[in-house]
Amino acid sequence: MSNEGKIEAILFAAGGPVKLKTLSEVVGLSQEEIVDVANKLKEYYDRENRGLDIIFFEDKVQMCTNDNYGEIVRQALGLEIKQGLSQAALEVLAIIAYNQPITRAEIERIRGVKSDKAINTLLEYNLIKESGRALSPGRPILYTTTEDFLKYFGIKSLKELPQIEITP
Amino acid sequence: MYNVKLEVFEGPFDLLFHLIEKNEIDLMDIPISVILDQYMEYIKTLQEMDLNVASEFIVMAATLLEIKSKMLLPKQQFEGQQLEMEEVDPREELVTKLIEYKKYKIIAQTFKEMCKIGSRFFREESEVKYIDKKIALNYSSEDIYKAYLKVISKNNARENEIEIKKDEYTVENKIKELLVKLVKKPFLWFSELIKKSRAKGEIIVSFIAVLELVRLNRIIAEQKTTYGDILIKSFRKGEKNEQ
Repeated sequence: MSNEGKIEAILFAAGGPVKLKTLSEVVGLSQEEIVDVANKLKEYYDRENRGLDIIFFEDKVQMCTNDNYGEIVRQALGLEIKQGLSQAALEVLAIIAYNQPITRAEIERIRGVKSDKAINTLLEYNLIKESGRALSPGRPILYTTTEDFLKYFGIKSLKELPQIEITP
Repeated sequence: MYNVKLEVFEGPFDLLFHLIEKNEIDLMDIPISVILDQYMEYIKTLQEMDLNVASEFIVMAATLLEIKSKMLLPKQQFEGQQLEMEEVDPREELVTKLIEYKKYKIIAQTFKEMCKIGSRFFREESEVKYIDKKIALNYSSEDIYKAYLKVISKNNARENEIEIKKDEYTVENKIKELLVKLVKKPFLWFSELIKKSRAKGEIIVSFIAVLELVRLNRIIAEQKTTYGDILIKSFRKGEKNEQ
C-alpha cells in the first residue's frame, strides 16, 4: 500500500470531508506530510487530466469532481442545475463573509436595499447559516458563512479571503 | 424600456454608482445637482414598480435633495479661514456609504469568478462506505433479545417522566369572566380584575384577555399615565374606540 493510495481510498470512501488529524493518525504521517501526499495526488489528477480533484479547507481534506467536468457530470446524473448566484446574492455573501457574524439589518444598511430574497437563496445553497442571535433589541438572527462556502470558493479558511483595498 | 433597465439596479446605491460611472464623476466631489436630476428621471419611472422597492429609491432621492439644499445654502463667512475648513461637507456621509458599498460590489465580482457552484460536485455520503470482511458478529440471539429489553425499559422510563399539566388559567375563561363583570358594572379597573389572582400566570392571562377584547372591539381600555391603572369599559356601537 502506498501512502497516496491510502489517502485516496479514505477520501473516496468518506464521501465527505476528512480531518487531517484523522488521516495523520490512521496513515501514520504528520499532518504536514499528509498535506504533501494529498497535494501530490491532486497534482497527479491535474497532470493526467483526471475527473477528480482534492480540496483543502480549514483542517480538512475532501475529494470532489474536477470542475472542468462539471457539465458532463450534471448531464449524466440529471442533477438540478444550480444557477450561479445573482448580483444581489453575491453582494450579500461578500458582506457576510467579511463581517460575520452579521444581522440582516446591518447587511441592508450597507446595501441600502432589502435583502431577504438574497439571504434566502444563500441559505438554500447552504453558503450561509444562522448562527445565534445578537444581543441587541429584538435579538436579530446572526449570519455566518458555512463550510460549503469555503468548498465552493476553493479557499482553506476565511483568512484566505481576497484582500481588497479600495481607493475612492 | 426603463422598467427593464431598473431591474438591473440592486438598490439606490447601485443606481447611484451607475450614474457616477456614466458621468465619470470623482466620488470625492460629486456634482449633486447633476446626479439628482438624472436620479429623478429614473424615479419617475418607478411608479410601475413594486412600491416596496421604490420606497428605498425615494428615500435616497430625498437624501440627495437634502444634500443639494444644504449645498445651496450660503456658507457663513468667518473672519479666520480656519473655521471654514472645519465645515463638514454635506455629501460626506453619503460618500462614506458609497465607498463602503463599492467595496462589496468589487468583492462580489471577485466572488463571481471564484464560485464553483454547479461545476464542482461532492459525493453524498453513501450508506455502505466500506465493506470489512474481517468483522464477524460474535453475538448470540440472546444478546439481541437482552439489548432489545434494555432499549424497551429505557423507553418506558422516559414515558413515565412525561407529565401533562392542565392549563390552570385560560384566556378564554378570563374573557368570559371579564365580560360577566362588565355586565354588572359599566366599567372596571384592571387592578380590581387581578385583585384575587393567585398566580403570576393568572395576571398575565387577564392582561392578554384585555388585549384580546380590545382587538375584538368588545371593550375600551384607557390608561391615563404610564404604569397607571387601566380603566376597562365595554364598547358600545357608535362610540369611538380611542385605543
